[in-house]
Amino acid sequence: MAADAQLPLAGVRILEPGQAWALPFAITPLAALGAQVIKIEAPIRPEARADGGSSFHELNRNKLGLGLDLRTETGLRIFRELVAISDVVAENFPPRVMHNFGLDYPALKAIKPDIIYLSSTAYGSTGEWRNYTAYGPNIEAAVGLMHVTGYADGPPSRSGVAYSDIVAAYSGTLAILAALAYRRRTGKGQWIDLSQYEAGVAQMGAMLLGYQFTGENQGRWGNHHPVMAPHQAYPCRGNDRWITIACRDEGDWQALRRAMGDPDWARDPLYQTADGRKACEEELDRRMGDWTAGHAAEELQERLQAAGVPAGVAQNGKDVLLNPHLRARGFITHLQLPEPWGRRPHFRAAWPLSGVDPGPDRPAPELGQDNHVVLRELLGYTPADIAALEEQKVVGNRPQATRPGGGVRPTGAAVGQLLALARIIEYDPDPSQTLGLR
Amino acid sequence: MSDTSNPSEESSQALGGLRVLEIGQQIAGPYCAKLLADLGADVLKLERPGVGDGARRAGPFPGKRPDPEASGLFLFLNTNKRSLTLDLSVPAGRDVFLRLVREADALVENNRPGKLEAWGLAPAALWEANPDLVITHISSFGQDGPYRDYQATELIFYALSGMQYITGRHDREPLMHGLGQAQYLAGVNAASATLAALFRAWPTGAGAVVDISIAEMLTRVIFSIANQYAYGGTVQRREPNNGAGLPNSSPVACSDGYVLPSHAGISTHWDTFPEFMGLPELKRPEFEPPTERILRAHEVAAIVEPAFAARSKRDWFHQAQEWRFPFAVVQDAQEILACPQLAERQFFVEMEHPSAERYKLPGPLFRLSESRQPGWRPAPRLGQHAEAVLCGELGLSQEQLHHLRRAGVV
Repeated sequence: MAADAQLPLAGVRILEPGQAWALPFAITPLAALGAQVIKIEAPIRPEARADGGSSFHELNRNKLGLGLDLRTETGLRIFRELVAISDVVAENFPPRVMHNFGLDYPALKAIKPDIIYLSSTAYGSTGEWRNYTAYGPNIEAAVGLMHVTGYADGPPSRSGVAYSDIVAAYSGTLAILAALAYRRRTGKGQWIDLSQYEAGVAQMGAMLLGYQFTGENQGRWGNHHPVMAPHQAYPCRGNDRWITIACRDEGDWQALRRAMGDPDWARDPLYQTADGRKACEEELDRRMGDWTAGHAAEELQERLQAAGVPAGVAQNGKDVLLNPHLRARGFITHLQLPEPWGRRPHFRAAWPLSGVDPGPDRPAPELGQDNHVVLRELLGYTPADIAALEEQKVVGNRPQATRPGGGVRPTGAAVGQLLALARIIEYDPDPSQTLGLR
Repeated sequence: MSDTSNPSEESSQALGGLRVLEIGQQIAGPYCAKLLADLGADVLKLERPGVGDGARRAGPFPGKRPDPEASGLFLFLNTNKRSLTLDLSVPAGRDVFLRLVREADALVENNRPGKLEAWGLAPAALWEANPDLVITHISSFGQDGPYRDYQATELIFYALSGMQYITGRHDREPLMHGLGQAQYLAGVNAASATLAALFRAWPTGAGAVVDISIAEMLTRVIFSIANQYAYGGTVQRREPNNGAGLPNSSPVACSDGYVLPSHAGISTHWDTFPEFMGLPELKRPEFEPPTERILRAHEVAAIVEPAFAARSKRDWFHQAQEWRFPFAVVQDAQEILACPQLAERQFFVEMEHPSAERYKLPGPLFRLSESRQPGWRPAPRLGQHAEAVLCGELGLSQEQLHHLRRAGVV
């Protein structure tokens, strides 16, 4: 880890008793940029790993793994010993959990006066809803995003991922960096109370002002835009292939007309102004779709972008990994994992910063993988001490339970079901080969 | 609300003492700089003389009457900043800018890639004025790569990121989120990346260029979808809308709106779910295997939908939480503004702007216990701080300022 000294966060130690996505993903870029992150898992409740949930490596690469049972006095003592030599503690339990362990902010501040302590909760650490819980999609509902997402003639819709977990994670990263900056200047640590709900609402200012200024609640517009038209995803050749096209102004419309070969219908005076196009948007979308349906989505993206018209393929997860732009940018990186996985692609863990080379990512730790390193090198325990701790099951590296998750490699029968339910569009038994990894 | 923050208040904020220049417009750049300003950084926003940030013309406007000093989008995205108009395309404007750069820690901008170079403000020129400046670029697709000069709107980000493909019904077109989310995600990341670069610049004196791609920050959101293909070979689609949304975590209709049950209950807490719902008829052997509940989603929906429809969404929300089922309420803007939890935590910030009515804005992304929250100054009027900055800080005379104004530089 010689390169670490050059990295922006070299020398920062973070304890992460975090779980799932919202908190671990907040720490991912910090680990990539040189912070030493100790991920603490309870052997009785370890995180789902690659064979149960493939995202474990995305979230937890470059971290150390410590298996520690906080339900024991000795486990709590070790946690406190680690706090005394750490800079940041980051957790995402409901507020009662760390309090009941005697590990809330006041307790840890007494051990390490300048500790930075991030509590990431669903609705905040105070207030009537403080112990309410949420999974990613829930907060997307509460913050108003679902209300404005969906087909104009349909119910509110959610996105296909735990979107609000990501918002919380992005906010948590900023919170820790801001608190580190404050500590650097003043020597003071602090407690960060991050409400995933509030972090989500914080991005909704324009919608909230819209209601206050006009008395109108924004509704659902599908892919349409209040001013721009055409502004839609149009079907292309192939199975579930789509091109999005956004026409910002008259220049875009003229360029789009030329790219389409200036068909007769597009010369109708009605279509020559944004208001006119907007007024007959349904008809416009139908005619656009008739044109796009005969073409490959990738071909249209290239043709329209060359003409200066905003256009993009609605890419699926496989397309994204194969995308030439993301590959050229170094956004697609790789992890070298033990068999049976081997080399697998991931997204860049941190942001491109000139002069900063984090080097290749290290795989996420197995449960308790670094027990010995952490206890011996950081806390000075002897091998005999550690053996005794393992004997007492205070530290461990054998999962005593598994999280439900379902394997990422579906069986033949499951593939048929997933295809029938339209959950998946394709099954590729050998993605490594398709991705050029072998 | 204080009009000018005093130095002691500034230094007690998380980013007190940090000086940031912003050449931003619309959402991504201004949101990045707003987050830094809300944390106590002194952000000077540079706007084109006579025109200003395009967000000033975006609305929503009070009473729907366009007014460049009362655009909701602008008022939201520019709290706690100061504004100076400056024409960066002429040498006099560039000279003033480079003097400001000398005193700055970071520059945040979201112009087209290459725009700064065209103004003679390439990194080399900026570092000549200030070697440890952090230069944060935010752009649609980044500063290099085959898509560098691609045109984009939010819709295009949703398509290329992979977010759109997995949102909506599988038998209809893929959907984007309702608001400019990609650009906000880029703004938050740009703020973090700027601070990360500063952690290196402070001890070493080495400036850096930060290269944030809006499309990439949205693409990171779908990591699990990409991982599913990379590890399992499956390419996920949009979720079918199986009746009550169960078990696909879609909104379910209640008597007065929608509740989001999430996957708790139907997939992971099936043993207690029928009792919680008051629906013993769900306890059928054919529903026992979780995969069967997915395959028989329509049957499950036919049983649970009437129960949901019989009660209000808030009833379901609170009762579910008592049972530790993480249900949530689908809320609109009006309901969020009236939310008791947000009120109890005093989340909203009330503001008054000379050109706009009183309004509530979202408060901070997170609460800091020791460093102070900002005084919450409203967004600046176009060029409001020209004299304070140019005469008060750069030491220009009134006559020089007058000259710059007459030449249209300021």
